Amino acid sequence: MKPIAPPSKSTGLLKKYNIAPAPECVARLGQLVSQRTADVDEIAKIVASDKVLKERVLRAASPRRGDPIEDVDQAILRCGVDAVLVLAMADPLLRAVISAFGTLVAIPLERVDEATADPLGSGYIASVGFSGPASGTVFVRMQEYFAQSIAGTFLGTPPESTTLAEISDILGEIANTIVGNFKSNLSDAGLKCTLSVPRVTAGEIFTPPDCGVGRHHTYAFRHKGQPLSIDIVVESTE
Amino acid sequence: MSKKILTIDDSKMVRILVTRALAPYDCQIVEAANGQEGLDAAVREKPDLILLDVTMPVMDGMTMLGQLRANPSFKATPVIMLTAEFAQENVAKADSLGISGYIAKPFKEANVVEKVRAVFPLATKPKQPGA
Repeated sequence: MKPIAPPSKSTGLLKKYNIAPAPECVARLGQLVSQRTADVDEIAKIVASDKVLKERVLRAASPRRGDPIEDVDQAILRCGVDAVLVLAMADPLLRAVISAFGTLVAIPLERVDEATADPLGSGYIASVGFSGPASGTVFVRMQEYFAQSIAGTFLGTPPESTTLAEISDILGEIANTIVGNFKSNLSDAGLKCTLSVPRVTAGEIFTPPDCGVGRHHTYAFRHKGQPLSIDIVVESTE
Repeated sequence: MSKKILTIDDSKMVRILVTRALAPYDCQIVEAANGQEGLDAAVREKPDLILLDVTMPVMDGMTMLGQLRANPSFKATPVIMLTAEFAQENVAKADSLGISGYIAKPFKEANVVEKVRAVFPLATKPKQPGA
């Protein structure tokens, strides 16, 4: 199995501009992309080399009732390679979420188990689409009070006095940063894509698009009791 | 004489962050919300430095940078990219058009000061009389 190595010229440019190289999870995604037509056992070796990805794939493949699947090969055959690719995209996405909230608005996020996370109901939804060999949308969802707090803290105003325009600009930039980082990682993994302009809505209840089994995943976070959900919907992987 | 810095980004949040970062220093900040406004502002204001986003409506940052460099008056104007897109391909393209730095979003205010300082010294803003 060939490791993916960045071209030396590109590595030199990253050093020139002091840009951090892509994390290992991106290299792993790149391996999966380049090997996606390979035998299942080759793909299974890549999955098995990453403990978190392996657990994610086994959990996704296991039936809700009955014995969980414990064999990686069997899990891949059950999920399909495309679903495995989508699961492998989670790490770059989640890193981007934690980085964006932590750096832009100084909010440390705590991961929570999606199965026990509080349902969000209506609130703010910021979304950015990506299109290319992998196409889909990332949704950043939170309740109204959390959105107002983020905007109010950034602007130095009371949360209740923040306007829809102010909240939309800030949530839009957070979503743009998350998906821009995610897009950069996808591109470095061999999945070049373009981004849409961020869209922010208020007062809606999220309805995920119908995209087929294994193509929509929700990741839950919390900050001081305020829930946050990140949804990734992958409509196609060519 | 204070430096003039043009920030080109469609996000008001980013423009606020840049202004806050450079507030203690003797520089004048001019803003534009897309590449076309940025080109117009560059011609009008003749900035000493441009901070440039990539993904923007109307005209994106790479297109703007290409048109800027095609104008002899701006061949040597320092440009620092300010973008969430740091894929190797994006960095290479910006490098080929001639840039002085790259700030990957999300960024801290200190990152902006550090990168601007790499282009020219930043003098602390003189105290106002009576302050």
